[in-house]
Amino acid sequence: MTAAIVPPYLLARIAAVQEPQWSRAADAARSTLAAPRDYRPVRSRLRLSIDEAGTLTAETTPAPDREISDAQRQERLPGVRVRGEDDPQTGDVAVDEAYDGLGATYDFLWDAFARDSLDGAGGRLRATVHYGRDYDNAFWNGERMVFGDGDGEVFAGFTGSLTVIAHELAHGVIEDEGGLLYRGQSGALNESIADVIGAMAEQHHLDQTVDEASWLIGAGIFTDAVEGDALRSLAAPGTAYDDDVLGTDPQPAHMDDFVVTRDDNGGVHINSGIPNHAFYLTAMALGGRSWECAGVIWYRTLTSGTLSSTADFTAFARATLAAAAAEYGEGSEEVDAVRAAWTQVGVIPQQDGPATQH
Amino acid sequence: MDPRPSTDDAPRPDEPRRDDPARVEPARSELTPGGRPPRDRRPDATPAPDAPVAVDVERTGGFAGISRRWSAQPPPDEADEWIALIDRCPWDAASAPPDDTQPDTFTWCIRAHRKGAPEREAELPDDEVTGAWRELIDAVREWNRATGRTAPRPR
Repeated sequence: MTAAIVPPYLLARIAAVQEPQWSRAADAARSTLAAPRDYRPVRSRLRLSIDEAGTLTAETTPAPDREISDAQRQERLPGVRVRGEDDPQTGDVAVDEAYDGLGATYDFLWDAFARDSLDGAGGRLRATVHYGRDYDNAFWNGERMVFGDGDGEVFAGFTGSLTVIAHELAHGVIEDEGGLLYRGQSGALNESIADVIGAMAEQHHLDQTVDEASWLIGAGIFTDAVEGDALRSLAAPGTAYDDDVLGTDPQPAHMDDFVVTRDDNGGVHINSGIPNHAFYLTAMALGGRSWECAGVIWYRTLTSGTLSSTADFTAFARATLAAAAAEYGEGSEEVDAVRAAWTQVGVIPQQDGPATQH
Repeated sequence: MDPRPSTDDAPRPDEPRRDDPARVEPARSELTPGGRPPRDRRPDATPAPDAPVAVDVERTGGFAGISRRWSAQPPPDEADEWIALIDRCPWDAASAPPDDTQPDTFTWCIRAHRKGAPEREAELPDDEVTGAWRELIDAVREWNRATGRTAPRPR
């Protein structure tokens, strides 16, 4: 990966400027572009929009570089490459859903945070589908998303839910930002941030406000035989499913109900309900679109470079408060909303902050 | 190892005996007549007094974070086959999954009991479930499916 402060697509634009007063900059950009470097094709696209004043604006934005492979029901990676960027639809639903989901997640990261792919440097987005036989899972293996087809009895498949795809990709973003150890509270934070990004990516795709959103993760991945809407709910952890086979959604929404277990890396998919709900409460208090304010605070926290990979809930809560204060000011309603949310889920003690609890 | 609830240590009264013809009924599909799959069963690690061998498999983690359990207590005439399969697994080479587990992957816990031998246990990340481990896990799941035995899971 070519690491450069000024991205090549920007250099190309500067180099193309004709106005004489910019000739020096254009020359510099041209010589920078001409300098030998690793060959990497740069993808960009033209976006046209009409602003409030009715002016047509055109901007170039970076574009995703996707690659979907088919494991052909083996548990081997990466599998056979079946669709690359700009290739037409394959007709294989899982392949095409994964492709579209990668694109929607890419668009979300760029529009919300100006992040160019998972690594922020336009890195390729890779996914493998049809992994294993009746394989009941979707995961991130450090370099690609991997999707089983589900068993058809409990799970109908995973590629149909954008929240699942964005969740898996978010693990890549978290890893790129220094990671959160996948065990105990830091692991539950890793899971929670992946859910938060998963929920926001879907809301962005559907252009939903916080009031319109379902706040569900994995809606539609269960078969009709299962009694449940989804796997997890940020709005009401513990209510996503209640089924004879699967049991009841075990997620807590408050520290009083924190689950101590040896399973699931110390309950990373269980206790993530607590920070998930804190994000939901913050987003609801601030209103509008989740990624425009609450999401910015969470994203800045993740990317600040100061979050420890072994952070617990309290450390993360304090980091979100610091991020909110840096972004919006100490006495801002944003800081108050974040503090009230963490207080309500029992992570920050009541007396710790001003009495702004909702 | 987590202490097991004492209720799990005793054979269940509704459990068919090994010589019970009901045990070798034609295989039932995973879906019961009501159209619902059976509940997962809690691992019943301790075999009934006359059972020569028992294997329990527990899968935790995964994107859904939902644990599933399977158990096999094959009848005496199948015991040699099962013991051979158990012995082919590299129990001593299995190490606990590392702390930096890849997100959303499964973890497998396998326990084997043999009459008159100490319990064997291994915990494996999903990508190490290959070869003999894969055969053993598939055999336990298949045994579960074929016998269609169900037991309520504690809620």
